Amino acid sequence: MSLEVTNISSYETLNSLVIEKKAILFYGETLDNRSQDILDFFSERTEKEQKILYNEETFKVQINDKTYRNIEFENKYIKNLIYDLYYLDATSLGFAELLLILHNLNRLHKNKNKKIKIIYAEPKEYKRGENKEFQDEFDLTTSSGKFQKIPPYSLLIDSTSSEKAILIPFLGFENNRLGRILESDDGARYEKYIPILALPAFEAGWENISLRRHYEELKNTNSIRFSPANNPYEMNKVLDRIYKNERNKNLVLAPIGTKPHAIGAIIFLINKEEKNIRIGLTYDFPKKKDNRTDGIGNIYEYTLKIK
Amino acid sequence: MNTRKLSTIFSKNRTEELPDDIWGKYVLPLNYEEHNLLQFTKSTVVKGGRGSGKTMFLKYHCYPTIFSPKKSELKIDELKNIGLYWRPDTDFSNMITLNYLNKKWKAVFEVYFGLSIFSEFSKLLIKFDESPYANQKHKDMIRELVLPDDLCKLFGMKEKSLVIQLDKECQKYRSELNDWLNYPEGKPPIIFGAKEKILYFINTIIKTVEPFKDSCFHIFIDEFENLTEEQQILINSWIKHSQSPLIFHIAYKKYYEVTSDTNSSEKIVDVNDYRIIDLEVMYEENFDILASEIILSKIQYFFKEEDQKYEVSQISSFEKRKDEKYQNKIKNKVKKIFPSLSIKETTNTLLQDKALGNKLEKLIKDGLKLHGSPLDAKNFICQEKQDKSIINGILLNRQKTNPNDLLEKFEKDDNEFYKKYLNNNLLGAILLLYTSYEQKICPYYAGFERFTLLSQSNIRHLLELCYQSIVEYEKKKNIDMLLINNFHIPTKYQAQAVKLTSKTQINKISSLGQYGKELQKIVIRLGKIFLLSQKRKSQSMAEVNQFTVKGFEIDITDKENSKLINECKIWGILKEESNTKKTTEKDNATTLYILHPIFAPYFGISPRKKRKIDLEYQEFKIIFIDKEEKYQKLYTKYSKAWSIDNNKHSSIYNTNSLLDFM
Repeated sequence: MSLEVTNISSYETLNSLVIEKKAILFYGETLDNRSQDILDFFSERTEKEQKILYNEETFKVQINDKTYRNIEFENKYIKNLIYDLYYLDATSLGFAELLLILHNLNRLHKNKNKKIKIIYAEPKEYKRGENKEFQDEFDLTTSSGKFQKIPPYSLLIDSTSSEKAILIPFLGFENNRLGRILESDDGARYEKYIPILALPAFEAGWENISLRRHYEELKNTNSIRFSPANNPYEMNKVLDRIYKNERNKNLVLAPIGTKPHAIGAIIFLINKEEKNIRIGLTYDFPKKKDNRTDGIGNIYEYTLKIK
Repeated sequence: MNTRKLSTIFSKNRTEELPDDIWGKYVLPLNYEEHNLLQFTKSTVVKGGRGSGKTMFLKYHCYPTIFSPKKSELKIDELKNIGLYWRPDTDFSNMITLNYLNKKWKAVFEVYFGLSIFSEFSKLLIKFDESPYANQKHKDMIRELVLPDDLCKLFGMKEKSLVIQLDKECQKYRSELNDWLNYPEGKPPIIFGAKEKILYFINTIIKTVEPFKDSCFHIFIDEFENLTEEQQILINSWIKHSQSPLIFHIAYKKYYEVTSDTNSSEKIVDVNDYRIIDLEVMYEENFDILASEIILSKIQYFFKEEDQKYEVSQISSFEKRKDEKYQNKIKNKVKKIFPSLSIKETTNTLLQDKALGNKLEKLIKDGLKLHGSPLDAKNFICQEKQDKSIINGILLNRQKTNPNDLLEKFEKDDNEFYKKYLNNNLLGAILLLYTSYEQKICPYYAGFERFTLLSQSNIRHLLELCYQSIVEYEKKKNIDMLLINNFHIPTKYQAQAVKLTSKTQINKISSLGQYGKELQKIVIRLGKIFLLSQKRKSQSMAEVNQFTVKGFEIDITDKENSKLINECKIWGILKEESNTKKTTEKDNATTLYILHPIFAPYFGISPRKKRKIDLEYQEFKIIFIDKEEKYQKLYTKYSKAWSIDNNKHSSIYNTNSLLDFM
């Protein structure tokens, strides 16, 4: 039993997508027009659309006016949703929401060959930042939250632990996200880090922005790995390879890169958790800017199967 | 052949970064005896900024260092007070809250803490066995020390289990606790009251064996600021009633606002319940000596050092280290490795550079033009009077100066007249000329004395400056098998390194806490305004790198600004002092904010604490929180007011300077 990516399709417009009717769409905050377009498109075609938000302070999932602790989420909510197909809009759903929905769907439909489709629309363009000297070329977030664990993916590493962990950060455009982890850690929890760069990037050349932004953080590491920006299947494989190479080491993922990378990480985490292998996770819950991107670019449809 | 590069000794290597046993590595500050944590009979709050060596300081007092096999002996006296270090996984402890676990949080936090400390005690005994403690019989007793039945039962261990096996058991329970927290249903895997059980363990087991009969155990909780408020309150309650044989100490970032509440209606109070150690204050005194010893003790294993071994971790070496002769010797040794130029020598370097010489001539010409004087600029420059020639450049750009009178004084070499300007304006004038060329770096920033000025008792900055300087030098030359007496890094490499370090530090600001991006913006905005002031040809206000805010005190209720100011202080970006040097009678500001000197070289401004700018409250707000357009207007306003040539000053900022890194 495992969660697998069985198909990746790419479309130029939403209208090219074939949507099954007895389906539900999970979506998150619609901060820019691409997420709104996706919601509008699905509203006309699917049976139900459900907004899902995770509150990292309370560790609870909010659905309409109800909140669920993560242990209640499966029994009290997901269990009652029986659809042929589940759509997840990864454009608007945050990392934690995607993780928890997939985690619980996987538990619910174990061994049932159930299909899940994740939709992700690339932006046509990211908004440029206003301060060119040191600020990001792309200004994506207003402020950062605290780095937190997301149960059930907690892994304890402190000064008493017998071994430190290996941090696996995914590189995006904003270096301060990795910078913050390293700055606050200061060698206490992580003995080394293996960054993963989105290559090929969504657009040729973006990998250079990402590398340049992370110059300080990367100058002392020689273990950088690569995975295509738009491919969760590859990302899962890259992570698996790292896991096999670093046998018996504690790994902590920091999915602060692209959304498809984050999906790959989620598949890896879920499959490992099923085998009782603890992989840690740290995430900073950035507050995304309203209208931070312009237009819709490529649309990806990732088909996942719960086997 | 030395295969290791000297720079690696100073570079940050994650695995070696924070070893638990820091004996021989930790340079004990000379005023340490007033700050010896283990001599305190009540709790201590250790405060220090980023890079202040807080963790090293705590670890010096803990068992891996006290029992270090690197010591020649371990005396029984040293066992009277023993520290145990605990830095929680704060992402993990953030889950142990009322929000996530309801009322169970307290029991779970106690278990998390308790299991960690029991594990440390078990490791303490294992380390003791490896220590240089001479009495083998005592060691045998400790190895065979058995847990009482009730604790064996609590931890699910076989009867008569050994204390040294407890670590393994605690690690197992910690892992189970982690699993339980992922799905917090039913009871946690184990429940016990941490403080009570630890005290019981100390009194009924540890203190029964000879070497620890009189021991008091000190638990140092690092990163206290990142625990949740309810967790802080619980620990405060332990602090309130701390006494031998179990004393709790906490450490957190200076200026962080933590709660002083306890579980009862009482608060913990300074002096009554705890003492404060401010590491920055501790290091400030004699920082040059401390810095010299840190550098020399690091490089002593690289060079063939004939006459000196640095013993820096032991109290017994204080007598030698406090000796003036020794101190002068080590300071001179480091000054030889990182030589500096005096301001006069800097002047000489400046005028040997043709382009900069031309700039001075141009500055003089501009001044003469201002006065409509027909005099020849060349008359105001003389190789024998280099410093006065540079002063002429700025004096001629002042309205009050009469060029003919000045020329007369210059020709007469009127020392009395120039004295004041040489003292107050020479460095400002030198920096003014250097700011004309982005690629030229003022060598004033080079040298050990400047490194201590730039780092301001921040050890991390100091080491980074040394590291970069050596890297710059290694790019050109092999440092290999040299005797330390022959080794020095020329100022030009150091100056390049300083600028790079400064830039790196600005780049890193965005990673400092939740408001990093805002703080970085503030530093860039302030730095640019200070640079504008630095570019004033008249240098009537030389070396501006501080500010006060008119009437700021009235608006302290402005939460956003107060929060950002406090974040600047927490992360060591701005230093706050009381405004004692009033600029005018109207200057009613009580607080002065100084930009950390480590950022000065990037902007090309002075690192010395000299002058300030009085900002209107609105201007302060623009710099701190407003959008870029408003700031640009303010910037333009100042550049007009100070008659700065607009085309030139802004050019270096219009490109993405980060490209330079690649």
